[in-house]
Amino acid sequence: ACSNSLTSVELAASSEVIALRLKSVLKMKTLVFLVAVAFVASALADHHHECDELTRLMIKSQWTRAYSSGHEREDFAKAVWRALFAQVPDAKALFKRVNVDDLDSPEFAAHMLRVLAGLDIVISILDQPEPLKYELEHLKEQHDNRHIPDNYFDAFKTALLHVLPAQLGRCWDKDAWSVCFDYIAQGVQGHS
Amino acid sequence: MWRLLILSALVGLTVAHKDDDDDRGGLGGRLFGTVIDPRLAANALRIINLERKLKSVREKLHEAEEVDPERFINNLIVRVDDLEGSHCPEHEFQCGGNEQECVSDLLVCDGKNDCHNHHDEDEDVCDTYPVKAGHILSGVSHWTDCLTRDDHVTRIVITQTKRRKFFQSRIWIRANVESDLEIDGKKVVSEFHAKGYYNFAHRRLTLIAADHDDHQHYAVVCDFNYGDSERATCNRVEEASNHHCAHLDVHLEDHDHHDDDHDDDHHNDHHDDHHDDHH
Repeated sequence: ACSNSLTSVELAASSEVIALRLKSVLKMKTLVFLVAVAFVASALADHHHECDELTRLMIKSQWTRAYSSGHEREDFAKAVWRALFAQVPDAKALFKRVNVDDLDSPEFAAHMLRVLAGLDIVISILDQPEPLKYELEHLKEQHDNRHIPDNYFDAFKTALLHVLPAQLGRCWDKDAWSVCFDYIAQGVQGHS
Repeated sequence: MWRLLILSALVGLTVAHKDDDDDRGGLGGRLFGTVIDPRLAANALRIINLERKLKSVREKLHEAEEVDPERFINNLIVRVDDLEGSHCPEHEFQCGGNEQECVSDLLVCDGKNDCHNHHDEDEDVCDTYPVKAGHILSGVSHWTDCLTRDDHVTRIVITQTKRRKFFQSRIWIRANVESDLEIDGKKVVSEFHAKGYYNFAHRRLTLIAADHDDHQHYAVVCDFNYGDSERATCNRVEEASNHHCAHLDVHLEDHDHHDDDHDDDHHNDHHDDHHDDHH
């Protein structure tokens, strides 16, 4: 109810306008109809079925808070990666090159930050379709020949969706993050 | 026990006016002389006396439970620490001791040592008792803003807890928040479902209305800042701004009498573990 108030208000307002228009055009004032419209409107307001423009703006602002800066950023990254490897320990095999055996090593710390920095770029241009397209293509190229199983992406999403609320506290929107992460991950994976 | 009682009645009749020392004179002496060994009778009396003393000691045990020096000192330490403050930023945990090290609250109780003194994985720090499912935290709400309400009782009933194996530094919680209100002279219980989390680093329980459309119920933020797991200082706050609307001090309601509650606890935890595996 914190930051998604923007979208709910917006949707509620637009659904009200639609309801009024329909009322005048169709002159149908039956209670059943109105109830049906109200029901659809509330269903729309409750869930983010897609990563639309307003949802992307919300993700951007929440990400800025969570991503933070300095060594807080390092700790945020560490929490995400620990949660990832706790789910799929096998994924460590992909990061042998960056000293994954010692999660606290400077090499791996650098890598953790590097990956989150990539995510930061994507999220910060979520509202600019053109650059976003190119960035996702670029990331897809980088990931293509590594043959990353889909479940690693799922595990990364699960990790992120648990560390984010821990970092953000009360004000975060799970549904919004879920749909927008899927959108980004699909771009990187090349699935549509 | 019954034998002693009968004996005591007998002895009471005979030696009411005497010490329990052996004495062969008088009616009692004569009676005992013929029936029972007087020394035995005297010992019986002593035993009865001991039993009486034991009973009073047992009663005093309850009083002794009220005074817990260790808990008292712990309480004081925590209160003073609070006043002293820490140099750690808002989202960090102080490792304590003389080292004064700070670590991110995202890494506290996650199963890996991050403090040099390992304090972030201490049993005391990572105690899950404050938010066990089945616990009822109750106290009197005193509203100072947002709503015009007389003081009333509020209960936080913890209904469900989840702790993800891959991310253990938070416990995700579901609870019911109930308030005993009096509206137009009638007693009404106002209640809402809440969701939230417990943060080990700050010993803080945060609960917000679980329903997206629920804008009329204020969030609850509780700090277990008494140095134990039974008392907490809570505020009702506006979810977005954290503006304080009401204050309440809660304590864990005694549920020693209902053993079923404990069983429920276990059941719940198991259920949650199971749930974890599916994810």
